[in-house]
Amino acid sequence: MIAYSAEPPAAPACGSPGPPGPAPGPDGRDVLVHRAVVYQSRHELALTAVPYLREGGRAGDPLVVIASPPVAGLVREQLGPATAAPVEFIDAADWFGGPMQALASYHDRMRADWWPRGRVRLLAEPGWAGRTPLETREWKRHEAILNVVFAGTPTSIMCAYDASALPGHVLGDAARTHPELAGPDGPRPSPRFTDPADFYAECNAGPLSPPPATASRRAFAAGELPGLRAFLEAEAGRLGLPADRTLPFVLAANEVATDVIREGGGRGVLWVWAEAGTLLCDVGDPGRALADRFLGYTPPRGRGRRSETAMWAVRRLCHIVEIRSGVSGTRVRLHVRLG
Amino acid sequence: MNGERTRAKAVGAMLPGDHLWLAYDNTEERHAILGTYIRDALRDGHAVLYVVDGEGEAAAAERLRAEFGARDEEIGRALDDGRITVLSADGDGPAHGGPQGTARATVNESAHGSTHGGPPGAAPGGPQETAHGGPPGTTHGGPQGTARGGPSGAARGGPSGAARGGVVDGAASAGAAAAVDRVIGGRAGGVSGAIEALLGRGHAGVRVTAEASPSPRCWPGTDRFAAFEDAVHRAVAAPGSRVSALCQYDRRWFAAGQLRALDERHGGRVRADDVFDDGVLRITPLFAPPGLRLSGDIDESTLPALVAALRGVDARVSHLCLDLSRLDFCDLDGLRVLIEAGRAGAVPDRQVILRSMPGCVELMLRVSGLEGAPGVVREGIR
Repeated sequence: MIAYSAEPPAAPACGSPGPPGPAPGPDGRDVLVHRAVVYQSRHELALTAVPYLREGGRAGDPLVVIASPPVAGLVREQLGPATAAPVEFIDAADWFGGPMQALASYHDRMRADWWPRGRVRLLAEPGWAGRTPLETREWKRHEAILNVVFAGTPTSIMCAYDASALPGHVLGDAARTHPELAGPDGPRPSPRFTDPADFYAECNAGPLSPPPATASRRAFAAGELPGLRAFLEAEAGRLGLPADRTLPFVLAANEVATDVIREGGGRGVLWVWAEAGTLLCDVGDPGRALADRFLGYTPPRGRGRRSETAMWAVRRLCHIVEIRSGVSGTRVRLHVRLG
Repeated sequence: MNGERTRAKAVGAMLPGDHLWLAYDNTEERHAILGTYIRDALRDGHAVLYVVDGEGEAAAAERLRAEFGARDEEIGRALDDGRITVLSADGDGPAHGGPQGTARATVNESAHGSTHGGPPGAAPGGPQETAHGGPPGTTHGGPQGTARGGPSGAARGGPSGAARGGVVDGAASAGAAAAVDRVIGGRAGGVSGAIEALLGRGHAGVRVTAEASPSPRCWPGTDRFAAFEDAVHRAVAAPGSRVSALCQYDRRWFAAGQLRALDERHGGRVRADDVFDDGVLRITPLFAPPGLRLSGDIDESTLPALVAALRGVDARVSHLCLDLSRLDFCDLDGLRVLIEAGRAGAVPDRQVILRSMPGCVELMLRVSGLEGAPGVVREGIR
């Protein structure tokens, strides 16, 4: 068993419900196990996943399967009624709506339901079909982040990849974002596993495209956020965001702008536009370079750094949030789905 | 209650010609509003005519000095130099017996069985005795909780000292009349006579205020109540008036019908001045329970005002109610300040009650991971 033990920005295991669960790792500490199983057929998946789940069942650990109904049905059948009875089955379509949404759900359920009952054993199969290139990249990043934010917690995650259906880059990056590869013969280290910080930096390597010339632009500084919010609300409505989803968008953009005023250069510029069914909002801070190292991916505890706490909330309020920073300042791009 | 407050006028916005009433929930609210009313009068060069009953004028003046003068020296000086004048239904003589006895008996028969003209169930010490620490049933002591006895209690102690100013002497010339008539007065006496005398002395205007003791005006709904309020109204509402009036009533004494009668006899209700209002956020003090109502947006621009207002809340209150029902927006820093308001007080583990949390706060609580902070009680559906 190989565990990636990079220290997260803030150790997430020491969250609310105290020391979670029994079953520490072999070295006496809780360790995260994060494996990819790349399968050619459902039968092959069952050969790997079913013993994995049975083992947890024997230990009395909480078992969770997040998969499409056909895969869930197969696993249920192969486990047999007795072993399958305590397994929590979650529909992948509900869970994997967005990478941050899924991460927040993990954080919430781990603390509230799973860790208190022991070492959680997850079988998860995210869907990759129909994802935009941006979403695909963010889902890959999500897999890398799991290694960091759940390091040192009583968690085993087995992620299933259908080799017959998924593109090569998804399969290739699975080997880079999972410390272990699982198969019918047991787990083995992934030789191509990449330090999550490096993988994360790779995801940030490409620059953001500039906002289109048609984007609405507004500068802001201290004392000007009430007007900025009115502008955001009007723009969101004009660009087709339903009224009942305006609040999360305005909360998120206001929070990023507040961070520019409080922690950054003090004044910034904001652009709003829509493209391909998405409402986009760029918040530019020419006065600050922001270190984005897993920024906003761990839930804040106590009085964390303002930017950390704010970005956690901002990420949860949006579909995807991109951050690019350098000598010319920082740009935060919020993506909110219009549909 | 929210509706009442909406219609109510901030005491600081009162103008000559206003005849308003204050329905106070406790001593803190009465002090806050009346203090502003008196201070504003002195600031503007107006005289204050303070109408009491069941209490000699000198005794009432000393009580007011204790109630307001301790915190505001200018009020103390104004009591000395006649800018604040007390007019009592009892004159300056003994509170019991004499010509006033007749009026008192009438009051008692007409309204209720209390021997002292107080409301049924009121403590002998008067309204303020029962007012401390908020509404009945709450246990915490308000800041003024041990400050003093009520006006009636202070007043019943027999003969009082020297008459205060010519106004009072003028009112006393109606001596043989019943107590109510003494205050209502004719053209030359009572409230209107006192007002004329004060204006004649060169004051820019007069602010009248009458305490909630029923004796001078009787119980709401009676003829004498109407006669008293009409007399005040005539004094205030004349064209070119330089007079305003604020009638004080302890809300807890009165049933809904009587409150309606009070509404009908006044131009409206009075509320405490906002602590802050910049058009983005309005911060209004609450008294029962103690706290603040926050209306509008809490953001980077208004957060300092919120922090200052929370600092201004009495550190000794053990429960702090933050009414969020009219909050339209609250950012993350604002949410943290609201949640951590409990730590600012002198009371360990002060409880913060977040009342009527709007959707924007609910959402931010959920996505920020601040849900379930200790010491925070979420209360009420809007």
